[in-house]
Amino acid sequence: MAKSAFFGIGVGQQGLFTARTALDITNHNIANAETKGYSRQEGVQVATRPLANGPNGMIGTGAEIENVIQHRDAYLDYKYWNMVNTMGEYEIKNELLSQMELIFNEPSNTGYSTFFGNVFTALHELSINPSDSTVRSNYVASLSSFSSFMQDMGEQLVELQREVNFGLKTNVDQVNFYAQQLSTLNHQIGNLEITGKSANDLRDERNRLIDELSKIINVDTKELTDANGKKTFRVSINGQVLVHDTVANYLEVKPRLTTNNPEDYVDMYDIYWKSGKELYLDNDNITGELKGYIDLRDGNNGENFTGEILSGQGTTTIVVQNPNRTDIPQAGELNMGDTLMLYNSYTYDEVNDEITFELGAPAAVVGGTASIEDIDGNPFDETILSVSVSGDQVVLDNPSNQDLAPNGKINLNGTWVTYTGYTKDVPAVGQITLDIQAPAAVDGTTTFVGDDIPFKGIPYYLSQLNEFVRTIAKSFNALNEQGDGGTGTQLFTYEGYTGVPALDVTSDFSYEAINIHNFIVNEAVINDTDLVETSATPNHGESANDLVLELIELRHDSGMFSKGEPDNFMQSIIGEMAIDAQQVISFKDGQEQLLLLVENQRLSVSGVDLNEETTNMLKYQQAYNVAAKIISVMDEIYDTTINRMGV
Amino acid sequence: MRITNTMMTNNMLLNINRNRQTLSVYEQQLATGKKIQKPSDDPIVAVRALKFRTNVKEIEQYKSNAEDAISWAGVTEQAVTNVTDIMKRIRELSVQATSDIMNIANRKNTVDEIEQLMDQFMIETNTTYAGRHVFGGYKTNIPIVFKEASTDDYDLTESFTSDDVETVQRVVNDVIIDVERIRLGYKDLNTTVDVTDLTSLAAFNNVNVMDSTDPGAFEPIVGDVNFLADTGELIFNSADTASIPATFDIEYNKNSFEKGDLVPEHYFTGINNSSVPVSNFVVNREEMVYQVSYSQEIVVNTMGFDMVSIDMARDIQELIDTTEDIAADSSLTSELQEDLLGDMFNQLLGKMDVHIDELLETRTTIGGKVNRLELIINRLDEDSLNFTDLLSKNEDIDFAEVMVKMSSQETVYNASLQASSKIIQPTLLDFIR
Repeated sequence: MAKSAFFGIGVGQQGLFTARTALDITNHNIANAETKGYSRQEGVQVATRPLANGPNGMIGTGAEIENVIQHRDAYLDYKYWNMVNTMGEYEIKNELLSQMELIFNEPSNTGYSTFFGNVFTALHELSINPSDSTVRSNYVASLSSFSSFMQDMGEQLVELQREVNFGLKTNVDQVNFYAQQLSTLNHQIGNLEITGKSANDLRDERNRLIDELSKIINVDTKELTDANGKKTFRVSINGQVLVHDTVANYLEVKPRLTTNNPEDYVDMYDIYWKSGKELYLDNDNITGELKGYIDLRDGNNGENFTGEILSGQGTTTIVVQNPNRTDIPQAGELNMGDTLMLYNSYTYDEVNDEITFELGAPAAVVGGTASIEDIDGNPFDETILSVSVSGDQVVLDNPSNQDLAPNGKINLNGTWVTYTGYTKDVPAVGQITLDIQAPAAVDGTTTFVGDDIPFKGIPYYLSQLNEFVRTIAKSFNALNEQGDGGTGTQLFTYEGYTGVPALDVTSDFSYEAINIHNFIVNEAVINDTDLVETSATPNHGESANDLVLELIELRHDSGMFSKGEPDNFMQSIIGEMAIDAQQVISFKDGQEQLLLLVENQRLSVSGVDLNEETTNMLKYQQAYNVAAKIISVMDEIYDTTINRMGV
Repeated sequence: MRITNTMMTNNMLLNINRNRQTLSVYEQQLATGKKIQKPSDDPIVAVRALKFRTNVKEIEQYKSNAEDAISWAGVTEQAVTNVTDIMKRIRELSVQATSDIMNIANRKNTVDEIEQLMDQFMIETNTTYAGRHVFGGYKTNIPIVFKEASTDDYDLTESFTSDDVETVQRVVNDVIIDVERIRLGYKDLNTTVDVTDLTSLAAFNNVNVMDSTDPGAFEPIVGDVNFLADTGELIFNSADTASIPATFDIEYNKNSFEKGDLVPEHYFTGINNSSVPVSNFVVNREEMVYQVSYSQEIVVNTMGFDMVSIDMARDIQELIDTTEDIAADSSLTSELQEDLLGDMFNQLLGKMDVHIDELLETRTTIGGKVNRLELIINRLDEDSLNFTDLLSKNEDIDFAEVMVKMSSQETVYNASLQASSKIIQPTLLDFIR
């Protein structure tokens, strides 16, 4: 077979094109050397199909860039994603615990120890000068500054909790933003890859987004290839799909109806899918910044309310015995045998250590309207109803929609009540009866409120501080009440204290009304410092100081707290926090090191090396130059052949 | 392994950053002088710092309490010393005043001096510390003796034992007779008296309220008790003394107090009808306790009755009265009277010696207390030093050590900067052509 007369020019041209493309790729690499997430690309250069040169074998036809590939190791990406979320978690925890340390502000001259110490300095002064009114005033003032300091610390902790809650919302917004970008990218990649070639730069961008997303929460990614070779990319959180190909499921936050921990600020967010279901974040399985926020915001050291149901299954009055704590909010959500039911009030029987929860509807709502939501808080499409309550049942008259969610909650005169099922009238003449009683067969099981989150977060420290101020209030009050033959008044009360129910030093429960936010010095004592009692015996003379001495002894009362003396209690709280913070820092440092290692491994594979690119540049430049030379040589032989031969 | 440019810059930045962090730790330590800036830097140091601070502060507090106690005890001691001196001087002057070699004018001067000394006695017993009467027990707002005559009305209950009955001599119808008497806390009483504890017994029938000048005042018939309101005495018939119960209470009323009289609140159980509102009072040993060390308490005050007892007050009164009697009049009604006064005077001098001894004993007790407090303060000083030292060792840096560490860290930091600058600058491009 005869070759074309211009065969050589053709091969030369191939050489020029190939070298040029290779230079372009090098150029692209150099341009993106510092682009975040970029992985270096390489042209796959192959020899073009050879021509049979008669019996004399094959003759080569030149070269071409068959494909542009990227250097990327999916395993290293996977490893990076798994590590970066731990990093995110510890970064957030480190930041927030540092702020907590600032709030506690110890050791310093402006922390609790100074204010608590001042109370005892004032007491010592008082023990020496019990009759001096300025010394009394000074003592009352020291109590006031102590209570203000504690209140302020509580306020700062709650403020921090609000910020954390906001941080969580920001996190969710970011997840949505990434989800939206991922779905867009999936769309673009799908369109481009119809040719079967890889959309390298867009894939880099997609991986970079997963890098960022993984910092917030651990995600699973999967790329599926169907029979036609079409690739579908899927990102999921804890088994629930966030992005599937071009479709993104967005998340949203909804304020909680009830608080998880009694110390919580109201309106804490729970995360839901926009489609309605709650994003159930199994605490053990998530990591990332979100986990950091959740642990700090909700962490209660596993001390959420729990107790054993003594009786009440199938009714609306649940009696719980041996509760682990009794300072729970007046309304909340009780988990019984995996069914969540709202309670609207409770009473505590201190003698038998039993709490009685009322799940029922407010007394006799007749007529009126009600709104209904499903268990995830999505309003149910229903027009105004007329309702009546009788015992364990709520009857809806003439509902516009006969089919409700199988369980949910109904708002009766502003009170939310959980229903666990309903029956339609037979024949359906327009009445629906909702069952609002507790599930059957839960007696003897453990019930709880909120989640058991083992981390020592803000609620934990608030509950510890609550215990501290309650015990201090109770101990100081107990002694002052002994004054003047047992007619003394309370030194500490709480804001809004009306005397009913009375703070009774023999009842721990009554003192649970005091918390770090409402802890104040009794107004009466501030106005009349003569109410500071110095002696238990009436008319004992102005210089009697027996009660003052007993108050001083309180500081060394090792039976006051389970952790010992009051100072030991606070020291151990600060110690716990310091140890947690220290641990977080060392985890973070370790994780940083590991992450750098993986990042470097990734860069070793994917990173652009400028020396290498310079070498390539020279290499391809020379290849181009030589290919051009070939063309000129070819030109010369045509000149020779056409113009010089046979003339 | 391929080493790419970003890898190198990443590593470089991390290393430089870590070096800077270490440098910043030393810098902060030097700036604050403290090993830790926040608890998480070292939880153990942080918690110990809290403990030591509390300890140091408490020790300072105890020291301040002990110093205050010493001041209090010092004031008390001085007052007791002065009272002792006054007693001695009164005793001396009494002897002088009754001496035969003194003329009337001299005697009068001496008696005047005694009266002035009694004024001083009043001031000393009413000694105050920071506005509080040091001998007042808890009732530091009430003086120990009246600063001026008072008409406050008191119902008083005084407890006696059968041992309180003493035998004294009186001249009755120019004969010296033995009289069995109980001396009440005051003279010049009102005539209302309640001795139900005695009259409820079979042995006693009657209480005769009278004055010492009334006939038969010192000679009650068997079964009768004479209550002498002017001298504040209960007189028994000697036949009845065996019937007097082991303990009994006598209630009486008084509403005229002279300057220098004991204030009843500090000595008796009773009711002050003149105070608003009417106040009940009891006398107790009222101890003012200061905490001067960890669970170590000390009683700082001395009760008024430990210094001036009711007996002492009445003995002084009687001594002065007797002295005045002797001094004022050289033409006494009878020789018998004169003899008797002489005897009484000698007896009273003996009693004064006992009281002066008691005062010295009280003074010794206070002195012992001061010594103990001084020892406690010394110990607290040592403790304070120890804890301050511990506190400092726990949380303060060793400047020299940190300086050395910091300069070596600086060297490392500079080296890392230099190495980095060498590594990131050149590329292959720099060497082509």
